[in-house]
Amino acid sequence: MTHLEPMTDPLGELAVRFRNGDQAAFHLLHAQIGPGLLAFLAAHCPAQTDRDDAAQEIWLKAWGKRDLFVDGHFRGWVFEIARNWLKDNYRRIARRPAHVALGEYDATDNDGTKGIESEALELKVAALRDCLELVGGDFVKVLRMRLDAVSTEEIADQMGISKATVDSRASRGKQQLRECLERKLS
Amino acid sequence: MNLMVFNLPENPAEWPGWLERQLVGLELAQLVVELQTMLPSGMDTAPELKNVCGLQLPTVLQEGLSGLSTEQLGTLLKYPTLLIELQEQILLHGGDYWQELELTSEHRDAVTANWDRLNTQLEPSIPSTKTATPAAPRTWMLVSTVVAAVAVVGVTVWLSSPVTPGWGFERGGLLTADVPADAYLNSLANAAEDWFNKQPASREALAARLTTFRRGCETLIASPHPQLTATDRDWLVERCQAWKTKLDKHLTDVDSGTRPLDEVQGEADATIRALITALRNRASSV
Repeated sequence: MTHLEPMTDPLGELAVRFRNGDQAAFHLLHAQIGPGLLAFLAAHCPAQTDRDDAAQEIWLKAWGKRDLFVDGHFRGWVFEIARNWLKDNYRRIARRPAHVALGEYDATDNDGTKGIESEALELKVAALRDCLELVGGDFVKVLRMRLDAVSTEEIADQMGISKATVDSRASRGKQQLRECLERKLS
Repeated sequence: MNLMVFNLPENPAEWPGWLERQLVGLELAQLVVELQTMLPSGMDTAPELKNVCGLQLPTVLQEGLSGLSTEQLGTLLKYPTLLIELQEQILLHGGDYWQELELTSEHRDAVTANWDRLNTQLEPSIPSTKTATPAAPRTWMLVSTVVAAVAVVGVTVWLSSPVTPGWGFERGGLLTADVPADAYLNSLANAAEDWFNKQPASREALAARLTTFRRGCETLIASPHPQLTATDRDWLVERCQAWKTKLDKHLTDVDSGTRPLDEVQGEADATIRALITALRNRASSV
């Protein structure tokens, strides 16, 4: 077993204690890494219950396998467990709509089962698509140009309107989209 | 009805701060989906993250997004799957800057709830020979409250049974039983016998039943098994991983639909019988 070198990893000292079964150290490591792990899982598990269950299983697995953490980057080790969990459980958890590329967790492996929260997201997406056909064109047009780093002055020139009108049209378009979504999703 | 994209600041100078909070928060995927729906890239090939951030990626990981240009930030938002990739880089390799970003109350509550649930499944704690010290000041805001909580080290409850009644390795109380090793292994074998209590009548039912049993194997792999010696525990974990692999094969066969259902069912039955035999044989040898 390779000797751990605590100082090469900021969490190294805690990781050594964790490996020795120190639950207080485990708690502190959880506080350090837990928020990031939840954020990572939230990006890959559309349903909150799946996200929370995944976090539970991953941390339990890390605790159960603590003897196997012999060297390296503790945070990376936990995230490797998380990646493997996602690979192993892609059948069970609801997959996101195929827009989101999940790397090796291919969204096309969707076996057709979806959680309620995943369906809610898909309903919202469908409503947004419908509303974009009807309203909000100015908001999207201005948004796209802003993301292309086009200044408001240049947007105004391209649209043949004043700067103030650019802002008011974008604002009105946003409001129209908002109202359309409320009607469709209420 | 508010979309996350509605909250994108109109002033590009505010994009770095706003986007940083999304990258470490719980709603990044929703933002990604909204952006892709609103700004479909069509046939455009998304650029690679390393090309968008260029040589600045290490700086981003240490100092946040403020060093990126409006064009670079705009590209990340126009091809929002890059945000998922960037998030992973940040969570794995990000420095103190990212650790110190404030969490939403929902995020903090979720982390706390996760630990509370986890804590009920840990075996009695081993008294630490060192005082629990606060992590370095660069940590998440939660740490100060955590340190106060772990200052009281008591006996925790044994691994708890699943909240809802289960079958197989998810039977309530199965993993918490305070029994000798041989009785424990036999109880695992008895639990595995639950597999034969129902005969699935469809592919979907068989897949569901296999998935549940497989989940039970994962629970065994992750559990501490205080009833067992280290050697027996290692044996059990190694066997569970092998059984899980066989169950994966059965699941693949069910899903593919290329083999008769009763044939796959028969193979799954044989796997479970072999599993039960292995557990009982081990029980007789401890």
